[in-house]
Amino acid sequence: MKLWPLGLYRVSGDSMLPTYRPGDTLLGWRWFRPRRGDIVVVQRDRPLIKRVAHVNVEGVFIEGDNPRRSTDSRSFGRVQPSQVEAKIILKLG
Amino acid sequence: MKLARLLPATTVYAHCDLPCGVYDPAQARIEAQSVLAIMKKMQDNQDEMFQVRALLIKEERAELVKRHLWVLWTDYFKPEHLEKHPNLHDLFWRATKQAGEAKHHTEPEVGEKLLELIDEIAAIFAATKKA
Repeated sequence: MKLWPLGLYRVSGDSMLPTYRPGDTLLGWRWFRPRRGDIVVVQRDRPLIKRVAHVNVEGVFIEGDNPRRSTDSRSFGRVQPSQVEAKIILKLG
Repeated sequence: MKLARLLPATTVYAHCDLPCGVYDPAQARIEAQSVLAIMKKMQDNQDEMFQVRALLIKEERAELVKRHLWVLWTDYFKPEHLEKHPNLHDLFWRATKQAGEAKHHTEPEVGEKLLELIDEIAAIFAATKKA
């Protein structure tokens, strides 16, 4: 459990179009468990933003909202819940 | 809220790791310049064999213009670009049609018109890159 529940994130790239555009500033909430439909920040070699497609005992399957422009669980497989850092709760601008 | 963009924030990547296409209307423009140059040369040289070869090359280059324009149209431009530039579809339609006209004709004006249309697309392309 992270000490501070909020995080600020800025989007780079097209894979979350049309929901979020490059440059959008987002507020994330860290005290949560990923559920289907959440848009989440995931720690991999670099932090990603994707949507949770489904969750099961094997992990969290994440996908971009713009699948043609997204590298996600379809190529690298499920991620572990511990890698899921925050869920987006608000777009600030 | 533009101010939000000034807040310090962690960059989160919404990317595709595959090598994405490099899009540039310059590709279509170079082929269209070639079409125009062929048209001009055809006026200066009436040799039958030259004319045949020139026609064949013009046909091929005009087809490449279409191909490059289609890739831009279908792969690069997105719905939000269309919102800002509502003439985009019509422009691509006219430009690719003009590339077809460039196959049918040998008058340099036809090639010049094609270049003009590609330049209009290039201007929109440049505007989307700034955004």
